[in-house]
Amino acid sequence: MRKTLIASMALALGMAFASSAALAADKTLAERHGGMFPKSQNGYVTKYQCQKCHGDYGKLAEKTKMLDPNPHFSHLGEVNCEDCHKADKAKPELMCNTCHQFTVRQKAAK
Amino acid sequence: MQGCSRRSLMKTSLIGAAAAGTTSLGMAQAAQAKPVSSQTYDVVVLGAGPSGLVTAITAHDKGAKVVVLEKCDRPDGNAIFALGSVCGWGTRHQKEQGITDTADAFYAMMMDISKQLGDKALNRTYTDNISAGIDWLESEIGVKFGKIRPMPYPRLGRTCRVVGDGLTGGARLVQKLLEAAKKRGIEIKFEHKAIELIHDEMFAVKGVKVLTPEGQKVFMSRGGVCFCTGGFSANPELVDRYIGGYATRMVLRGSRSTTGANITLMKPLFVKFVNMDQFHAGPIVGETHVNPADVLNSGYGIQVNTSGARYMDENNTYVIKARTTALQTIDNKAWVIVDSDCSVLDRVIPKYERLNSPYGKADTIEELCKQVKLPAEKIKKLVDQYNKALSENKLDEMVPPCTYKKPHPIAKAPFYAIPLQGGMTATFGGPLINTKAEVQNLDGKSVPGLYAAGNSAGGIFFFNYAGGAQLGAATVFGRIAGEQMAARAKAVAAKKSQKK
Repeated sequence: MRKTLIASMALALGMAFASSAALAADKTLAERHGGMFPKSQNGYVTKYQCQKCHGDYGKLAEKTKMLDPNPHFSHLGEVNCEDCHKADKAKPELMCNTCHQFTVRQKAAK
Repeated sequence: MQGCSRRSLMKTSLIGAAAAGTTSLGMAQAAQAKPVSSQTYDVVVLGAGPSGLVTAITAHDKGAKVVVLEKCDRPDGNAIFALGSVCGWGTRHQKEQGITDTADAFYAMMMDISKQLGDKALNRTYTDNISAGIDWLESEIGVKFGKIRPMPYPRLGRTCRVVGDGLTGGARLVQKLLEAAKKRGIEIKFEHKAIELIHDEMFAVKGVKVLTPEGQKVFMSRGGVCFCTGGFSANPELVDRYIGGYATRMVLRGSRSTTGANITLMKPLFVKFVNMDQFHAGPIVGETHVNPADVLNSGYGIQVNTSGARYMDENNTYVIKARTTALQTIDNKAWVIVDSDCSVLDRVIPKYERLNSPYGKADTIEELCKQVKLPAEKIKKLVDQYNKALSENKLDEMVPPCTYKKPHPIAKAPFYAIPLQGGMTATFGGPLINTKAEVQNLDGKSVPGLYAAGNSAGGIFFFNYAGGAQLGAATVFGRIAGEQMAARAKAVAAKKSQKK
């Protein structure tokens, strides 16, 4: 809940105070999206909103197929994007690792 | 967080918050908020796992207008964690592989595994319908089964394993069923959590009230409501009430969403719940969900608690070891100490490595204990005692006895310490159904309009289950429930039109 509030506040402020010198990699997901970030419903962004721009899970899985394990192709199915991609974080926090402890690696080229 | 979408949880917690600090009456009042909409279907199915989707597809194919109401934003029950075995006899696969089998032998196995305490009629129904069920999954749903391998338990060449193609077989099965449902245009409504059954003055079920992100809605049904919501392993209060406090400390091997809606929602209808203390256990490591079963079944090593004491005969199945670990250790944690001769290490260690799952490995028992924080002196003494008893053929005189048939010494470095915890796979208890998947009340009668299938239904399993029989039961009783409800909806509609 707290995370959501922080994210909402960040969004509401339009990140006016974000340092222009900040590296892209350090920017939060919301910052990187800027005005493109979907408007939350009841405080949450749904996977359907994200998929409008980013495509469905088939497309996402294809995009990350060189990762082992592939975070977009798992037995959990079509999880909510926000379960890993937090608006207020620069990097995703893998929900896989609430049960497992994977280190996601690039697959060796064949 | 894993599990349902946080949106639905937030909604729930808002209701909880509204009632917080007030009495339970406050909660009831919150639940009675005016629904925003009401719709009528022939068949209402609760839960979008295998049993729910099988029920829905069958009812649809029999001409019924069906809706599936799923509390999560995707199927999130036990099946997606499962290997995806379906246990049956007389299948095309058995025949093609030259495995001869009979209905009676299959039924006898089901009853033996349940210690003769599974419901006889339900196990007979399973036996008589499973072959057609597996055929249906292949021909109508497009499920691909691989070659029968004589596993899992009881390793009798009866399990058709769903080809996962990179997913668990169970997740693939659910995906195939979802595709089949979508192809048929069956409505599946996610983030629709059942909160109350609607019944008439004679306690016949007429519909269900659900909580959605848009508010409460009502779904009325001509044919009935079928619970396909799984068991109650993820509801600690129910686990404590029916199984015991120790079991609440078990690691969930499957879903965190199976919270016993069948129990809580059916209770006001005087339903007969059976086998409520029964469940399946298996070993697991909580932090990583790696499965140490191979080591436990290897016949090597001693098993100790975190105080460094043996607490059970090592010559037991992994099911018993998992359950006993939860029951006999306060922290539900234990270690298996083996040496490098243990025949399964080449299989097990890579799994631990891939998941960054901790284990101990050292050239001496003392160093090993230091690594995993076990009392070194105590364990060293125990290993020496074990080796001495083995050489004198007196392992069965140890306390507790160790009854390995072909024991091996713990002597060859490096030594390994493999962690384990007791995990809960699924609960077996639930509302008793009859062979038509109708839920029974305490007076031995069917509750009109109330059905259950899959792990929501009670009576079939007791003590243990044949690998693949949970998904098998979901298929068999899902198909039965779908047929029954579609027929009932037609009969109700015909009766109404006669009245007009």
